[in-house]
Amino acid sequence: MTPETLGLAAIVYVAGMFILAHCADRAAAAGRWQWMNRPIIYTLSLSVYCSAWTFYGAVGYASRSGLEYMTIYLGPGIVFAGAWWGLRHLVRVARMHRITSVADLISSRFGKSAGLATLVTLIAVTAATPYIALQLQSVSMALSAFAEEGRPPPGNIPLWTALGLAAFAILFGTRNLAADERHHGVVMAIALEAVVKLLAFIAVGSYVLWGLADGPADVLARIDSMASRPEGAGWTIQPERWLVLITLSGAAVLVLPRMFHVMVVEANDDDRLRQAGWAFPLYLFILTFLVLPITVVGHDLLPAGANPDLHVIALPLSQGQHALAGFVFIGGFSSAMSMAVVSAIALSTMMANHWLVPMWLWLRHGGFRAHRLPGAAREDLRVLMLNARRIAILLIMGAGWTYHHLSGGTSALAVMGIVAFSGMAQVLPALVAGLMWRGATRRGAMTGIATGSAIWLGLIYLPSLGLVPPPAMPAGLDPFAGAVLLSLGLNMMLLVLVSLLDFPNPVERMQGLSFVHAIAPDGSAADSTSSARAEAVLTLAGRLWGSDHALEIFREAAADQGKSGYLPDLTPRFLSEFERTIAGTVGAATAAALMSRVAGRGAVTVADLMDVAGEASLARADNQRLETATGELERTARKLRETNDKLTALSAQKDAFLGQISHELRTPMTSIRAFSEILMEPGLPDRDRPRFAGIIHDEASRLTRLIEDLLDLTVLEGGRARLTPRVVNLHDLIERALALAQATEARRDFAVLRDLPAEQLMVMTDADRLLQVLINVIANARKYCDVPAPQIRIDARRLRNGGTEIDISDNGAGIRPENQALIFEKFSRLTDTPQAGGAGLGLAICREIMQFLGGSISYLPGQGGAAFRISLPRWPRDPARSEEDPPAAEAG
Amino acid sequence: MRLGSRRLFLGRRAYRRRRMIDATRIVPVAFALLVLVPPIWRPQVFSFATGALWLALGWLATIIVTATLHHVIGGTAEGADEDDDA
Repeated sequence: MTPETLGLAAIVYVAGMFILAHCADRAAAAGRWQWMNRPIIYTLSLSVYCSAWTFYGAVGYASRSGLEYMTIYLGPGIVFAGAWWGLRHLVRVARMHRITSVADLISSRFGKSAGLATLVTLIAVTAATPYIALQLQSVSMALSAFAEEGRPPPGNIPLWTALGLAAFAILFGTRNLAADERHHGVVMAIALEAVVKLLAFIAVGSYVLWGLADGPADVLARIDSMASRPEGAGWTIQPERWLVLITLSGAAVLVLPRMFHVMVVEANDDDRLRQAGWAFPLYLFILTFLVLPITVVGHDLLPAGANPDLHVIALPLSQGQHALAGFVFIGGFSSAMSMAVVSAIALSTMMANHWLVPMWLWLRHGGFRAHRLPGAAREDLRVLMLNARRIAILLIMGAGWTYHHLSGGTSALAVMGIVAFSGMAQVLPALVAGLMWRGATRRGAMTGIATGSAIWLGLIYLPSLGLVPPPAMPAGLDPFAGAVLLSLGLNMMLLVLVSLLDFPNPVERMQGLSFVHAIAPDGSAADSTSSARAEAVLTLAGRLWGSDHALEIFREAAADQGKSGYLPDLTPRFLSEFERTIAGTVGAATAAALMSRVAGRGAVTVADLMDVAGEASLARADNQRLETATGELERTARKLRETNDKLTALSAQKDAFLGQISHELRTPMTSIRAFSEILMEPGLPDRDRPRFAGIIHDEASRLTRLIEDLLDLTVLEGGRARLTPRVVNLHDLIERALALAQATEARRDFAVLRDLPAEQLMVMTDADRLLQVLINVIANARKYCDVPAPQIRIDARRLRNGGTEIDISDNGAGIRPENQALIFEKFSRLTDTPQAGGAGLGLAICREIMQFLGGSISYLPGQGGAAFRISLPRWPRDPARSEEDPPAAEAG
Repeated sequence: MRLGSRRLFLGRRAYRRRRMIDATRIVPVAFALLVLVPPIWRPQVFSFATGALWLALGWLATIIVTATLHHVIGGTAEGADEDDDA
């Protein structure tokens, strides 16, 4: 198998990829892309992490430094183990803000700063150039392994490779300017390439593991035997390098432009990290542990002078397995191709969005000057953007090729990869702080990144090119690890320190809030839209995406607002969303600049921020007030309802009473009239006369009693009763009351339970009135207690405050709860039976009397029968004078 | 701006899911310790076959645990509350 055949195979392979990418793009354009929107495609596309460096270089690295090569895979392994909470937040926030690249993310988080974007792009391009050169070199190096002795391989392989890959990247990476930076064709191609390189590596690994060695146990034994060999000296793990390299590779999987692109920008949603979280580490795991057999068997079988970077191909070749070697070459070529293409697309987006377009707009329009820009409305920004990216891809590939051409190819592949890692890692502190700490500021990020990358440039990058000698480090410390620790340490320290001392501008603070808490920014109160013209915004959109697409977006926005036509109201929400949509194409900084001019979105001020906060807290306060008011309203309504019920019941009772009182009045009146008529009869026998006169007298007395009750009540209610207080023994009063109440239901025999000694209390009150109350309550008990063995219990006690309480209870049925509120009302009578006899005034009079005496009478529920509590104050109170002249003793 | 108050207590399923999400926070830390501490502590022991075996088994276990947790947690759509904190 000659290099020419393999070259041809590679060309055919690339052509196949062209066709695949083309079909995928067409399917996506036609909306038939569900089948390629699966998580597995996403996971496979992540394998762009494994470039030609990992494909060829890992074996070389392992044979020079032992297990240290694993650090390159273990870092991503750790990061992806935390995919659910760490990466998901990153992907979600980036999708929310339509981030186009890692530079765009940093810039957007730190106040849409154009300066930061420029700086990060600079670092990315600087770090990536030798890395791309490495891919070009790996292709020609791998081809040279197939060359026969004395016949050099074609010399211009890297140039053709670079041109081919640039063409691929331009064709599928800059086909159109979408509102999101997604490239379905490219993603499908790299997913397939991921499968190819995995299969190729598994093929060679299995061949070596079981074909050349005797399985895993043999390989482990061979690894242990390395300890005793001279080449094994470098295998001992250096702790500081172990730590630093794992940190760097963990950082790399987040911030390398190509990784960020496939992981964040091409992600449809954050849910696919659920599968990628374990599937991608599994992919890496397989690659990692297949390296070991190739390394140790290569050591044993190949001549000592062979380049370990080529063991992957040299081993099968040495055994005459040309087909396998050819497959491995295609696998390595896949790695190089996917890495170079995705890097070129990611870097070109960054360069175009953060360097070329802003510069061009600046030159063309004198720095976004407002009155100039509308004049440029006819220009097609889309063509400008796409051309800028095409130029950027050519520049990147050209730089890679130039680097390769000038350096003549470096000896060890691993070194350049690690240099690129350590360069991009300078972005990591700002990225992590930006996503987790609202206090991180633009100046802090700028200072940290600038300082870190300056140290990286001086101590790592330039020495790696051989331009300056490696830095002197304290004895025992590895120069590379020392330089990385120094640069990252200073980077983080300055980021934190400057951020702590800084006061960020309002846009930064809004973005900080949005990035840390993953809240979509809604635009601030300051977005006064009166001057903004919807048409100008529409024109801008048309220039970016073509007028059909722009009109469609605007029509949807208008429909969302409930308007017909194509011009939505320029509400802060709409403008904010629209700016983010533009940012998906041109980056946050350029989008903000464009919007501020076209739509008149002015700069946000601290006062506006405070307004937003103020509105929020105001809304909260309103909410609170509303809740309080609602609670109060409910309470009032409940009270009103109760009162209403009571009034209704009372009204009904009053009607009933009126009927009752009329009846009560009429019955005696009727008999009085009838008997007085009889008395007027001339022939009435004398013996009947006294009897009829007695009836008339009794009926008249009943009438009088009724009227007296009514009068009594009226007097009491009107506060016109006279109080004649004196000291009286409660025991005597109760005795008299019981005796007088005997007349009620005299036939029934009541057991009276009393505590006689406790009754011996002297009270100061109006004795006649209190007696009236006691009689009434006891008589009620006698009237209504309808059990076979009725009891009346009387308890009296002195209270600590000098007052007195008398509880009178029976063992009857008691009063139902719904009636308890009514019994003290006038005219209330709970039964219609004539058993009551009175007019329903008794308890009402009692209540009035007790109030008059300064005490109270209340119903005690839950005593096993009807129970009343009569409370007397220490001193009776004259209602007329009590307010202003309380008895002196009470104060003491 | 968030004004609505979050639910303070969850039902059994959501509660279980939250605890599984908590577990996903522990996994990377545990794996990092497993990868970093032994080789740094005893480089002589972990530089050869022992180290390779240790890392292989540890990593495989982490992958299995991660896959299980992600399976149990389920899709984003199943989580009513999208906040990372419980």
